[in-house]
Amino acid sequence: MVATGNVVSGSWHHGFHFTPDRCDGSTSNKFENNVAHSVSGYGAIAKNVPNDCTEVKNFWSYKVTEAALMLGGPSLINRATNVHSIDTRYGIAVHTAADHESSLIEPRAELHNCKVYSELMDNMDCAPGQVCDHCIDRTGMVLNQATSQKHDDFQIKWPKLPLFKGSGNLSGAGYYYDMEFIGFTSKTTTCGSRQ
Amino acid sequence: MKSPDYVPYSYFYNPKFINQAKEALAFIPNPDQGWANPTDCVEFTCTGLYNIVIYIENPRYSGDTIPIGLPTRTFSIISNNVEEGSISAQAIPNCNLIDDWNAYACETDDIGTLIFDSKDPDR
Repeated sequence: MVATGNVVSGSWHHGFHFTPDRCDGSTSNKFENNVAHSVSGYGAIAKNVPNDCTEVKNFWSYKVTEAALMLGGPSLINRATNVHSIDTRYGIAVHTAADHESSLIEPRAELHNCKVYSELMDNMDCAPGQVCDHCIDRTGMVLNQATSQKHDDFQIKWPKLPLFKGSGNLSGAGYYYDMEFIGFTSKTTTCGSRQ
Repeated sequence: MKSPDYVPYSYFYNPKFINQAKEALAFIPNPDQGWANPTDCVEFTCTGLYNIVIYIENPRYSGDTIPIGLPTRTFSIISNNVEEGSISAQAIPNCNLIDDWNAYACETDDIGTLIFDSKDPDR
């Protein structure tokens, strides 16, 4: 599957649902240079795949009510590179989901050169004159939630979000390189939610 | 975060904070007391959120809003254990509680996480 240069907006639950590539680019699955915005849910959800290293790169998402990207399959390394989260609830959600002996193997959640922006002041949740029925918290990113089972990558119904589950695996780490956090000038948003 | 058991050690290398308020840089919630149930942690408080270590190497700050008072070199953010009678970060030299984070900022890179993993069948 190849999906490049697309824009999705206004959808429910997620903008994209795709099979991610290996870090070495050795599969035929290419998901790059796509944008998701104004989604009641995730910008993009990567399908759970068991690779040595899985990577999602060059993706932009703004104004979504869950995370810009959800990547939580059973690969030893789950990596996001050059992913941009702008004004989203959970930022970039890359987690590990591999049951390994903690003393032997360390599953890794990695972010490389990713950028996280806070609330956009010119696109407020509750602009003056509007009914304020959608004032959501903002988080730049959620630390690796290491589960020994798996994180959800789809739902038949929408019983409860987020897709990432709690802990349970005592192995794993989060490695975050050259990230930028931009515009978190207050711990509250303009409508009073937490960020 | 929904992490009753453990949050893996987190390493940040060269993070850049642009227009970043100090109070909005981090937040570590306390464990949900509802996790003290027969399925999760029986009658005990689940301590995963009390054992978080975030290592930050070479942070850079820029813009009109700067988080004044934070270390400019390597430091660690660790949990604030609020259980009655517990002593954790306050016993570590150079750790300062930041109420808005519900966490400590520690000017050291010597803090790690030690895990004892039980192999009992009922672990």
